[in-house]
Amino acid sequence: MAQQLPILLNSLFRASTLFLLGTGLSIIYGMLNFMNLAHAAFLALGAYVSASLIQGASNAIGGTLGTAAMFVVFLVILFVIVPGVISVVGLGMEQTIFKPLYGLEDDYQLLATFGVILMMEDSMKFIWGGLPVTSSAPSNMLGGFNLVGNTYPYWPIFAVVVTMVIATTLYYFFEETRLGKITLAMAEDEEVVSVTGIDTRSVHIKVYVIGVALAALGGALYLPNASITTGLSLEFVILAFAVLVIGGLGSLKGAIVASLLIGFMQSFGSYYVPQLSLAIVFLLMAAVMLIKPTGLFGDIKA
Amino acid sequence: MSQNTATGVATALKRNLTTAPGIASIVLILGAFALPYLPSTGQFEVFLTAQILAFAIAAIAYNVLLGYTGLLSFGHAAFFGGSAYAVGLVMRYTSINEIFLLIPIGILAAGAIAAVIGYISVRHTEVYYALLMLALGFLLYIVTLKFYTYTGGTDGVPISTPTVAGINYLELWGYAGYLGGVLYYIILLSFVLSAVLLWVFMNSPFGLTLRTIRDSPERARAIGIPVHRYRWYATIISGVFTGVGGAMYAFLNGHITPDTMLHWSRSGELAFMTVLGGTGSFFGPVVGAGAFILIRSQAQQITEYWHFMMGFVLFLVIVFEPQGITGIAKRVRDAVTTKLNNRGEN
Repeated sequence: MAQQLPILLNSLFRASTLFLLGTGLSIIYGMLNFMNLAHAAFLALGAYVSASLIQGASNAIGGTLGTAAMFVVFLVILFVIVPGVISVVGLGMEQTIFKPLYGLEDDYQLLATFGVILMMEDSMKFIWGGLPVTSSAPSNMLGGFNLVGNTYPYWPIFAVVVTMVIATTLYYFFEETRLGKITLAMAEDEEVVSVTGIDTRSVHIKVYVIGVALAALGGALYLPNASITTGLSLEFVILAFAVLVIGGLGSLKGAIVASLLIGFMQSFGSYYVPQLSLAIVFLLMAAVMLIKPTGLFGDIKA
Repeated sequence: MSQNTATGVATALKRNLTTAPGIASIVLILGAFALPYLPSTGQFEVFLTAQILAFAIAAIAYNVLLGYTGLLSFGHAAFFGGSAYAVGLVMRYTSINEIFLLIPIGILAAGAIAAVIGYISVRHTEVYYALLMLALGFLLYIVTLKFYTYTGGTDGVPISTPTVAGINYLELWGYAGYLGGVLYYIILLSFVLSAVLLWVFMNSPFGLTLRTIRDSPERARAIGIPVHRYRWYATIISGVFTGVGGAMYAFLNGHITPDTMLHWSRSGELAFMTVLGGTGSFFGPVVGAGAFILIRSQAQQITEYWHFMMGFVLFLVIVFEPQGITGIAKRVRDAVTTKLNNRGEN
């Protein structure tokens, strides 16, 4: 049993990355009816930008601050600056290239955003080069603890806790706040909502920005434990859609359950059946779609 | 083919062959047959044309789903690459080296994969169909990647030059002679044969049924068409002919890897070719495949960031001209006709 503990923690860490990515995609599709294949590129962008900023901050003020103060600087970068910067990029893209796609059929949205992800992938390759980028400074500063004879870093646990706080906040947002309720209403019928005098376009933009920021944050939290390479977004695209499809479109609960399922399957899978860990995820996705086409918790849209 | 379809096909054939595009196609095909022997043609041009033809087969097949049945697939890499891998693995593990045995093997593999993946996917439409095809197609990519002891993993599988009807043309003629003398014609004939067969399918009652389903699945169901089953058939036919393209590409390229053959972005490329050329016409995807390969070969010489350019073009096409190049051509033709007619009236 003790052997399984690190895998269990890895599963939760994996699940939190997928949750942040999948939820963003899910609310953007479920609430705004926009099928964005390029959403996973915001995760990759978040990872790249945070790696650069952490590297830059370490070089610029690394020696002048104490460990604790430096860690705070890193946290500000990861939780405020990165989601902020990526949101601005995402908003710029929304205004220019996504806006003309809203009226199109889902199929054509998928195709056009496939074009967008190709452009984003190459742009990232242009900026950060083809070599893998890593920046594990925040994780290293946090250190680790002894777990069944090996050192296990604190960072994944920290990331999981942060994600749990975000999930709770999101739940509160949709259940309790005015904007959240309007969003849910828009998922049902945008036209009726707009008739009541609510500026649906501004709600649209807010929800979209939240989705992008979540994906960017997912990239920032994922970063210290991974090496970021081009092709990362293409890899995560399918996982993001797996979360979406397994959980059910636009369902927060579904996104949580699906991310956990996939996280566990991937982590335990790569321990017990290393060859097939990813394959199991897609088999699960196919099975869910065959048995319950709307996903485990999807009932908003058929 | 049954009797009652023959009349429909014959009329459609007569109607289409006498138009300007019909005549142009015939001229182009004749030109393609003469290509290796034209004075200015080198090995590169033959290779490029063969590549276009291989992708054109897959793109026409892709359009059976997208254009005729109204289904977007992100899983076609599984058929394209599945066929190529069947060819490659058979060559690796058996002594079979004969192209006329390997082609049917590739086609059968693609058909089998399409039958399985399609059976599961056709219960859903639109995004769900696209994503289910994507997920199931991606399974094949992962399996090929992970079982590297059998499949070569990321290194891929070399495709050695096959014998043609028992004769080793590579030994006789060298590579240039083999490419321009035998392989090119096999690919060209496969293209012509696939195009003719698919054209007949799409102009038969079967094709009409698919179009009915595309336009309104509910109405199709109401008049007694088993919608799921026909979508499944369409997926299999599309898969089989995509497999023809995949096998041709494998022979032409001489080497296949999971990333070039089975990754889902390859499916996206096929979708791109189809949309670029135009989903609304039968030969649109051929134009799209040609444009794609030509743009890519030019772009690759200018920049390593050619994916950016392809993505940009795809985006522009969908936003500004969803009917693709043939849509633009049709608009230009209509504008010219209207202008001529107006002048006649004045």
